[in-house]
Amino acid sequence: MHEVAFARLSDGRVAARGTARVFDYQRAGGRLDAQVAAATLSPESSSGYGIFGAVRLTAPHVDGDLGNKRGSASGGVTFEAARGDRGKTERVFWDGPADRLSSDRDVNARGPGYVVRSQGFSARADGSDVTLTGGVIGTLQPATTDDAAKRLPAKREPRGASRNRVEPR
Amino acid sequence: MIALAAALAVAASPPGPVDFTAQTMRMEPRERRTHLNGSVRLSRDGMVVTGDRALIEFAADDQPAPRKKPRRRGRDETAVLGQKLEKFTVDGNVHVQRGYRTADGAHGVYDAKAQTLVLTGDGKDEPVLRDGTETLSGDRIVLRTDTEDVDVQKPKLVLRRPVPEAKDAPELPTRVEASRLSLDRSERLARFTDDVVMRRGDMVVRGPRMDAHYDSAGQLTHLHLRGGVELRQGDRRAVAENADYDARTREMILTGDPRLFDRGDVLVGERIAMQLDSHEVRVERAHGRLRPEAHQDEARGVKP
Repeated sequence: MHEVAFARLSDGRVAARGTARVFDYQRAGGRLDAQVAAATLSPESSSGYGIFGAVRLTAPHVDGDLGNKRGSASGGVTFEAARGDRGKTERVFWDGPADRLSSDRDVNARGPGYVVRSQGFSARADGSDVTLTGGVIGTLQPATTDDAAKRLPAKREPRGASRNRVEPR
Repeated sequence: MIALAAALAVAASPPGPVDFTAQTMRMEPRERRTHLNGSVRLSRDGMVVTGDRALIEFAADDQPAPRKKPRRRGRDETAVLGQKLEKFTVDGNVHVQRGYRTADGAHGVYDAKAQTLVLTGDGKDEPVLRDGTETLSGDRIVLRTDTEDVDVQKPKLVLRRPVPEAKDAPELPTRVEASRLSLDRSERLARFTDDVVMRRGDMVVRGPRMDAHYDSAGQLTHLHLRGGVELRQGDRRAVAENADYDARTREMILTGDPRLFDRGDVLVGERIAMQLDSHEVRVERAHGRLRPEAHQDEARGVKP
């Protein structure tokens, strides 16, 4: 198939939707092969990835074995999250039985308050545990006392205070 | 005025970003924390902290709203990175380098808001701070990251080079212990408080507080003890309200009702000066009780 669009429904909501320029699916063996694929995932807020909001993934090549629940994306896999995170790695493997995603190539990611680079990663598919591997380097922005003050609830004026305020003429 | 303004600007500046390296980095989104393992190195504003492993904890909230589908975040929502670092804890062979000051300990906690790094030991070995040639250990070393000040609980300080010796005299380290030490680099001041004990050779000085002043080269210039001082050197004992030591002349001056007790002699004066190298004592406006028979062995050349 060419110029394919798809959507995945889960519990009455769109969990993912995407496109592929070329999509080859062999129903008998459960094999799929896609070229220039892009998908937008809408993770459950309770999942490890929920903090990112919607995440858009792209890969020049995707292949998978749905029967064995294994697959890979390669050729430069990118992600971009609604929160502002973005990252790139050369390839990503999906191991369904182990419930893990991994990469053995350079990972570069950045987002609000951080920049990180590693030689690979391994993560639980639900995002509850993400490990960057092979040597990690990065930068984090520390919190300040101002940040803590911002989190405090704003002082509320007593009722009627604004009504009784005398504006200068 | 310019220096004051500059100092205030430094004190008010927010903490800079923290750079890090490690072998692995494991993120626990629900707990808002990240583990760094293997050859961990964290650096910020010229301070470098290394160790075997580290735990980074992130602030609870305060992040930009999502670009799409803005929504409120609940208290128990998860986070990976992208939140501000609140604290990191480094364990195992912790080493801190800041300029020529270094520190080692078993456990280090950096608090971004308080702008402190607290070093502790493992119960067996105490944390150690090396400042130039001086070595300082204590129960707990608090390094301020916004200034160069240091606070130490139950400090033990060895002043290696600052007390110059006479040319032919052996080098005697000066050891100082106290319940607390505060180092103020801008004032070139080390302030010891609570149960201060200073030892140098056979001399032991005790008092509630002591200020040590240094010159720009890090050499000790003066010691000022206040609040009731007791000095012992061999059989000699002296008490006074104050004691001031001049490192250049190696002379200790006791003031504030000073009294000298020396093998039966009791001397009271307005001011007692003790030369530490020669053990010579001068008492101004002295009066007291002398017992020469107690010093006959000194007259025969026997060392007291």
